[in-house]
Amino acid sequence: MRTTPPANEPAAPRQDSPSPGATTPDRDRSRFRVELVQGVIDNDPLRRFIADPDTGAHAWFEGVTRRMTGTRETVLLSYEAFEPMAKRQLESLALEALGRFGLTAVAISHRLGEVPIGEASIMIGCSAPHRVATLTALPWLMDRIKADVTIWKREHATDGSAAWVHPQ
Amino acid sequence: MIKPVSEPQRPNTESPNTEAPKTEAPNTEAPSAGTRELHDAVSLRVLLFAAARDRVGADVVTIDVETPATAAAVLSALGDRFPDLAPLLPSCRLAVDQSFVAPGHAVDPHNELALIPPVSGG
Repeated sequence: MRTTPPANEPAAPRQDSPSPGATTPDRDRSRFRVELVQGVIDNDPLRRFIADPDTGAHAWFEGVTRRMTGTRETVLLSYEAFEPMAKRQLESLALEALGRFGLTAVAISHRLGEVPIGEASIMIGCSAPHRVATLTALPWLMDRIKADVTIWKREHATDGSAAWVHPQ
Repeated sequence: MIKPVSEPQRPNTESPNTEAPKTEAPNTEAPSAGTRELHDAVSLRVLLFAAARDRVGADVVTIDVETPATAAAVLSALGDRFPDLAPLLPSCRLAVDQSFVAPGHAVDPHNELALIPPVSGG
């Protein structure tokens, strides 16, 4: 049973807790949303999250499962994560991107489990007053995610084999 | 939060009834290298993921590492204990309490250790 009012709990990254008078880091925490999901990524909540009347640019990156890699044909990709660490890493990257690029909001959703051909494994959206900030932030975020975030992809091929993808 | 685990990992060949006070039996497990000093060892639990988990066949292992234990010593002990894992280790990182650490970083049983093979999200 909770005996203390929710207002006394440590601040969680929530969209609907603007907490007036908060320090800059707390305010930033209300401007990103990070999630690891099973099943299809729902774009609408992400779209609503980064929307802001003072932004003039909303940019998106959607990574999807590709069928052909050279001559190799993929049936599907399956993803797994060290979830608590991956979540913390994504939160940290989102927070850093907000400051580094002067973004208004960032939303990152990564799908886990099986992702069939043509479906999205990751969706990143960001908003800012002007487009350059958003278009610069997206590749920076993707590069950092691919380098460090504890998520692994397994590629299932048409011949029934499956292998963990180890980027060079 | 993962509780430190101290269960012995070596196969216990002794009968459970040999609880009598031990006399100073010769330590047959002492390192054969005569000049090497025997340090205390600490049991550490390590979480395994993806290719590392598949090579070991378990998602968590407990290994003994000589103290003072470091991240590098954990990787080395994993390679000694699981030869199938050894070829993958040069490209792995150790995460301590969900942060990547340098090889010299000290670790103890209160830390949550995770072996992180090359990541491939996105």
